[in-house]
Formats: sequence, structure tokens, C-alpha cells
Amino acid sequence: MQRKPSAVVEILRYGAIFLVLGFFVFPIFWMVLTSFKPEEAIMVSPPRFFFTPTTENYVHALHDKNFLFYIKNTLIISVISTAIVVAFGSLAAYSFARYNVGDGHILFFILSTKMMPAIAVILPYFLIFRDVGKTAVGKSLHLGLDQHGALIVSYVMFNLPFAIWLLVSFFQDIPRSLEHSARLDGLSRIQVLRRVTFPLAAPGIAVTAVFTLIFCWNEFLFAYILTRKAASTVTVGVESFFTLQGILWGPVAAAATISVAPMLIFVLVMQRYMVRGLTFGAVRG
Amino acid sequence: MSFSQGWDAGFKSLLIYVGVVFFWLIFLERHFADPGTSVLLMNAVGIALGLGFFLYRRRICRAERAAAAVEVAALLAEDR
Amino acid sequence: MPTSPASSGFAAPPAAGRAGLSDRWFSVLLITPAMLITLIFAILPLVQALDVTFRMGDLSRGRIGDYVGLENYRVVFADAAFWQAGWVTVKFTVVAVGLQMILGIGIAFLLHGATFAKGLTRSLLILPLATSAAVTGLFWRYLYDTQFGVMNWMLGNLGLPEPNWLGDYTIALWSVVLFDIWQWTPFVALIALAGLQALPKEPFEAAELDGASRWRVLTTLTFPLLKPVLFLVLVLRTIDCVRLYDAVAVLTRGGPGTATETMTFYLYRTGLKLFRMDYASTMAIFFLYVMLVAAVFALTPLLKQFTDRAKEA
Repeated sequence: MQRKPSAVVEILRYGAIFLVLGFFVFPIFWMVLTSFKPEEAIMVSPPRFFFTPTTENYVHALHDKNFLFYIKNTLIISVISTAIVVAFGSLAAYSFARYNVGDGHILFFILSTKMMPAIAVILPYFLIFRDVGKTAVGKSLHLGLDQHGALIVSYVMFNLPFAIWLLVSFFQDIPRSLEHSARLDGLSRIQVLRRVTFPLAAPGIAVTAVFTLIFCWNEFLFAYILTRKAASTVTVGVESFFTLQGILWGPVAAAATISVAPMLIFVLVMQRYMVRGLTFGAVRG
Repeated sequence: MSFSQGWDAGFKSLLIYVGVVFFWLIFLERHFADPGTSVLLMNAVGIALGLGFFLYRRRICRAERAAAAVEVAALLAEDR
Repeated sequence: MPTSPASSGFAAPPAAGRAGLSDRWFSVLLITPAMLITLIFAILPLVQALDVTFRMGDLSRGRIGDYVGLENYRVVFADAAFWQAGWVTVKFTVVAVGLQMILGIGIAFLLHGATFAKGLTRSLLILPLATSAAVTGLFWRYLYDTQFGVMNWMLGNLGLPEPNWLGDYTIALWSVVLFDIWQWTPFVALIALAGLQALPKEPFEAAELDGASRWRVLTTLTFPLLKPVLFLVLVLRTIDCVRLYDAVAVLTRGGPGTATETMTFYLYRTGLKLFRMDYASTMAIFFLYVMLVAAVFALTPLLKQFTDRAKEA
């Protein structure tokens, strides 16, 4: 099928690819660059590409604004949410994939909650967590406003549909015959799950975990409404750089770089698996 | 009609009813002098359409099932 | 061994007997934790919101008040700003999703033929996806800055007009679209690319033997085969665009005026700035209804794939 392309076509193709990549990478590049600029090199026209790099923005973000505090909160909240989503999600997805439980209706219900705009339920959530936080159970589980538990629960709720969606396609790719023969060998259903199915589905589960972690890490609205200070995450932390004097772009760039860096590195490492995972089994290759 | 089909039809009937309510409030209510009559009529239309859809689906499901039963009977007769 | 026609194709082997749970209960047990969470945290808030839509709910004057019947719905449906916000959302979604699909598919074809530095291109392309709209969106305001922004500096060097990206009410919405395109086109491109690379070889070889033109191959083979993947991306992107909030919140805050006020942002302003919980909940319920109807059409074909595969034993 591959006709040998001419040299002109090849040059045009790589030129186009270069332009495309430039467009998608430049804003991130510029952000990182700005984070190392001294103040006098930021608000200048024309924009400067060459300057003496400084770490003063990072000092401002980490020291004056205590940005590591937000990172710590985000880490706690997203890792716990991801763990719960993956655990509950895999069990449910396995049930949907193998037993077709609910004949598609339950799956439809769960997926349709993904349609729900977060903003539509944020007000009830606010009221619920305010009240639950005052009860004994709520206190012990940190479910009140501005506490980690409230955000974890919200993130679990809002990431379960997508996770289940992804996971169902992964579980369906695992041949039933393997599980069947394990059953014939006398393993119980749970043993089959633990020793056969989950190890086989591990790459898919990992992809789901990566996506869930990214979504939790980057979430803004819930964190913005449900927290004030004690449980605020990085996305909200960056907003706090708005001051009455205007936006301090240097420190904002530094804080933004710190807050997106973990996910960028993560994605670079997992890139190969993520692309496979993104096709949701709609591609049978 | 199996439970699964009933659920599906019921859910869609509900969507139809709510749809009628919204449509009525947006487009039709302004033509009524008295909101009481409007709401009454709205509910009547909504319930009629929702229920109508449900019954229509039930008839289709039953017909399909009857057709399947005939087919199976024919196959069994052939085997003998 | 004869295959049983029972729907539970994964039943316990006859020799082992049915010790303990039946398949049915086991499957129900597995979905219980996820179902509980979804039921409590989706249905409960919804029921609460639905309740508020029938009551007086001006929080600036105290608690949720008396039942007022359908009055809130009448007020919301008569509110021109509500329909305006809906129109902005539709405009945004159609343009953003449309451009993302076209550009994404184009980029996928571009990369599909390339052989050089494949891993690197993909790694770089995936980066915008991993960033938070709330964080990078904030930084885009610096890129869009009329005085110190890089965008206008580049346009100026090329001799092009330098728009007031976020301040001009005729342009602001398209600036938000541009940001969304930046963040999500790679998503479309990478999925389409994965789809392209998983296409079976044989039909294409046969088509070439027949001397079919490129255009014919594209329209009769490539796109029909890619359709399931593309449909999935389309659904996912549409859901996200309709629910767009973060980008608007950090880039324009709905402004200038109400030029970029999407449905979600108007909802936010009504509920959390003006404290009209009743109107906000009413909008939310209407919004959800529209999405549910869309879901019936969009999710049914996708779900059919799942259930069909689950049934094949």
C-alpha cells in the first residue's frame, strides 16, 4: 500500500510536523522559560528569549507562598482517590465485562453520570459536606469542608465512570478460556480474579490509574469550592498568585511549572501505554 | 417483555414525559391565559405520550417474542 | 462438551459444583462498592437539587423556602441570559469539537506516514493533555497579553493584525476555543493515530491491486473502518466541551460582558455569586436532561459494543 513518497512530500511532511509540535509545545516551553526570568525580563516588549536565569521566582513560590503545602495536599488527595477508583472500578468493570450484570442498564447509568456537569452538583455537595463534617463519622473521616476526605470522595465519584469505561474494554480483551481453565483447576472465583485476571489486566489497570491520577491532580472546580486553605490543591494554589497589584507572572510561571511537572514527567514515561489505552478497545489490533 | 426491556422503555418514557414538560413550559404556556389549565393539559399530554411510547414498545417486544417462538417451533418441527 | 445456551456463559464448571456464591450474586457483589458510591453521590445531590427547583431558594435572604411549583422553571425559561449562555455553549462546542476533530485527524495522517523520531513526536504531543486547564489556562493569559504577550509579538513580526485576544468581545470566545484546541487536539490526534495503525492491511492491498484512487480508498475503506474510534472521541470531546468550566474561569471569567459566559459559568454565577440556588438548580436539572437525552443516542451504540462482547461466550 505504501507508495514511495517523493522527497518534496517528505520535506513538507516533516516541516508540517515541526510546526504542529511547535504550536503544542511552545506554551509549556514559554512557561518554563518565564519561570527562570528575572522580574525585569518578564513585563517587557518585545518578549525576551535570552536573559540571565534566576531562581528567585521559585524561592518566592516555594518559600513565601509555601507552595509545597499545596503539592502535599494534592499528592495525598489524588493518590488516595486513584487507589479507590482503580480498586472499585476494576471490580465493577470485571463484572460488567464478564457477567454483563444489569444488561447494560447499570453501565449506562454509571456512564451517564459522566455527563453530569460538576457545577450542577457542586452546590448540593457543598451543603452535604458542610453537614456531614459536623457529625462524628464525618469528623473521623475528614469529610467536612476544607478537609481531604470531601475532595477524595468527590474525585472518586467523578472519575469512576471514565475508569470503568476504560477498564471494561481491557477486561474484554482477556480471553475467557484462561479463566475457565483456572476454574477447572479448582480455583475459586476470587482466586481466579487475583491470580489470573488482574495480573493479565495489569497494563490496562496501570493506564487507568495514570489517567485517573492526571484528572485528580488537575481538577479545579471541586478544589476551588470545597476547600479554603487547609486542603487546597495546586490548581487552587496557583490562583492565589493573583494579587491586588496584578498577576506576578514570574512566580505564577514557577508555581505552574512545579504543579504540572510531576504529571508531565509521568506522561512522558507512560506515553506508550497511554496511547494504547485511549482507544477503549474500539480498536482491535 | 423482559425486565431489561421494561426498564429501557420505562426510562425513555420518563424522558419523554419530562421533555414534554420542558417543551410546554418553553413554547406553549405563553398561549394560555390560565396557568392551571396549561399545567393540567401539559400533564395530560406528557402522560399520554410517555405511556403511549411504553405501550408501543411493549407491543413490539411481544411481537418479537411471538415471532421467535414461532421460529423455534418451526425448527423443532423440522427436526422431527 | 456442548455449549450451554444460558446467558451466564462463564458458569461454574459442572464438575466443581456450585459451592458458595452463584455467578449472579458474585457479579452483583463486585459492582456493589462502585454502585454505592455512584448512588449516594450522584442520586442524593440530584434529588436535593430537584427538590430545590420546586422551592424558593434565595440564599442571600436565608434558607431554602416554600414550594412554588413550576415557578422557577418559568423564570429560567423566560431568562434571555440563560438562552444566551446556552447559545454560547453550543457555539463553543460545535466550533471547538469540529476543529479538534479535523485538525486531530489531519495530524494523525501526518504522523502515520512519518518514520523519523516517532516516539519523540508522540511524547511531545501528549504534553498538553497532562497539564491542568486551570494552571496552563492562567498562563495563557500571559501569552494573550496585548502588551507583553508572545502571540501578538509573533503576529506583529509577520505583519498580521494584533487582536485584543481576551478583551475584545467579538474575539474572546474564539481565544478560549484556541486554548481548548491547544489542549485537546493531541488527544484526538493520538487516538486517531492509534486507530490508523491498527487498521488491517489486507483490504488496502486489495484496493491497490484494483487500482483504486487514494480518495476512493480514503472514503470507502479508511474512514468507515475508523468510524468506531472517531465516534468515541467525538462523544468524549463533546461531553467535555459542553461541561467546559475551568478554561473560562481562568481565562475570561465569562467576560468581556457576557461574551464567553457558557452554561456552566452562568450556572456558577447564579448559584454562587447571586445565591439564587433555586434558579441554578433549575438550570442544572434542565442541563442534565438535555445531556441525558444526548446520552441515550450517543452511548447506546457504544454500550452495544460492550454488551455484545460480554454476551459472546
